[in-house]
Amino acid sequence: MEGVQFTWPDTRFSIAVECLEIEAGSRVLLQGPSGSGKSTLLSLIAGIVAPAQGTIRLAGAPFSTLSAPRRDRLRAEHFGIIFQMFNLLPYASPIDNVILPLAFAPARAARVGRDRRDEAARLMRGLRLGDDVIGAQRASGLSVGQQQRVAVARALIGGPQIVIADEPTSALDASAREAFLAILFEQVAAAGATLVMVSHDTGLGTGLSTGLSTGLTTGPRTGFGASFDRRIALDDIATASREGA
Amino acid sequence: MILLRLAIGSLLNRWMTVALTVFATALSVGLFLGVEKLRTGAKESFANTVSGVDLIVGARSGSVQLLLYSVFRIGNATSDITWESYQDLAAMPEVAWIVPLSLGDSHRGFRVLGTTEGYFEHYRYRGERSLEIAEGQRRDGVFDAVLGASVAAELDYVIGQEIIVAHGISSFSLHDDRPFRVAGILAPTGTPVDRTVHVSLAGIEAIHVDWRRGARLPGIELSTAEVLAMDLSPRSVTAALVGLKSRRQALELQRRINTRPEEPLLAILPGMALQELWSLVGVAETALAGVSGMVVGTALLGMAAMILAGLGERRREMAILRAVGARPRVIVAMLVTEAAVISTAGTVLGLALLYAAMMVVQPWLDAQYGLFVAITPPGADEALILISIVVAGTAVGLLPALRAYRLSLADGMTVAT
Repeated sequence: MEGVQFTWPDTRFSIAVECLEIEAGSRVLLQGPSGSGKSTLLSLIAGIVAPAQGTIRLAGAPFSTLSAPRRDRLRAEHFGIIFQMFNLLPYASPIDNVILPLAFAPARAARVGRDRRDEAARLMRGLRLGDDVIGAQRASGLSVGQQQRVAVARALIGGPQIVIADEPTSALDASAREAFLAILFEQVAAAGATLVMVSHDTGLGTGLSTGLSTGLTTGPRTGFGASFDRRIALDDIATASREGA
Repeated sequence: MILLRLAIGSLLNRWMTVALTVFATALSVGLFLGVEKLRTGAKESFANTVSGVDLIVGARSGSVQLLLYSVFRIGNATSDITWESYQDLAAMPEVAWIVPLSLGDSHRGFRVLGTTEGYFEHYRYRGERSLEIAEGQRRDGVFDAVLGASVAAELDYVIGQEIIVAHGISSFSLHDDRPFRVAGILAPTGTPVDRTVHVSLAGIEAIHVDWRRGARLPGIELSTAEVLAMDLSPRSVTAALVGLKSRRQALELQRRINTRPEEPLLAILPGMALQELWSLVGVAETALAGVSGMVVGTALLGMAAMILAGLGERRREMAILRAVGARPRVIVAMLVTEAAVISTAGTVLGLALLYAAMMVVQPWLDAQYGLFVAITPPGADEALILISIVVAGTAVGLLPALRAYRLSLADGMTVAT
């Protein structure tokens, strides 16, 4: 991501990113306070919106300059996204929530094959979800922790290369957060995917030194921070502003 | 497949709002189609009531009024035709047959028609169908009566039963000294014939020989045998149905009858009088169709408002779909499909409600107004209306869909919940 500038048309909130590079297969934690533009940055990375200036490249190829439908297609094929909460379609079953991305990603669907539901169940079992969750009729009856794990299964199904997690632990208490992150890291590692996670929770990066966009982290690795390869403070790479503010 | 499942799941998730919207749409569709069915049904029912009659002759009044009271038993004649005039008409060389109609009395709410055997021979309905006796026989004696199918069914009458005719349409004065006997019951026709008690002209004359100006003459008591011995030729009839040897003579004969100096008469061509009737009710018909059309429009806009109002709550749903790769046009398609599903469900339910209502109301309409609205599957015109409603509903769904499109572009991954 280079020289990127973007402004939301409605709120006039702007973000400018000088340079950000994320290595394939790495686990990156983007940190910043509320309103610093974390979700906007994720929207740009995932190609949901395109910058007014600058370029975003995906695996070395231009991404932000592609047409919106092509970006949507690439996002469907290569990204798995986890929201902070209200992650699932409440009226759909957990299994349907998990296999939803396959409807828009033919290559992911082809990797899964015809037994989509079996693959979804396998992923869910890997995330320590029991048969009661796997066989549930509606996702709305699940606990927040269960919903987050179903969301992880949805993000991982079909083997996307990049998993984006937007504050996935903000609705979880400390013990649930620990368990959730452990499973997330385990599954992302098993899938060999790149993990980009944003959080305003400074506790998540404990034990990990701040790395600039181009450098690798070299600090001591303890706690959750040890699970990330890099922690990037958003303030260091981006400037956020609101017109008139 | 999964998208369809999700669309249905999303609708079911809001089932209460959706059900009310579907019901509102159904009611409006039912109303619209009901008005249409009633309109076409009434026209068909009227047009099918009598056929093969070239002229209807009555005392001079309005052509619609003459048509209504002589054929449809609606309203009353202001005056009668003298028997002499009737005989003059019958003697005209152009006339192939003539049937007298004597109306004015009733039996328990049903009109009593005094006529001749010619009525049963020449009356045609729905094209070439003639009246058929379902039970008993036509008539034998002066006091024999032939009942329409609805009269017999509603009053539970059987052959041989005595019936007493009341003087006038809603009178408590009964001709109870000279009852009629049920000789026959007609097969159903779906016309006002079903709601008519048919007696002989002589019978009508016989029950009125000792009556003047709506009351029995005091101090005169005649036995039935004495009455039957009298000359029971009528002094007047209410109207006459006329069949001509050649239909081409109808206009010429109509003009001659209408300008006849001996007695002011009115001859009408049934088809033209019906057209006059339709043009009279045309304005009301158009207004009614307009109002029911507006009701449909309002219901469809209500549906769009319901979907629009729900968008705020569903922005997260849209964001999830966008995040997993759904293009904005998929969001638009989902909402348009939702509108299409609601309007289709509303239309189908409306149709079902309409047919259920028709099954309940049809006998009542027949009983109350002699209006037979046939319960038939939707025709080409109605199918076109139904398709138009679904298309309009789908098009209206574009309003919230385009709003959702804009929201989905503006929201990105930042969604207010």
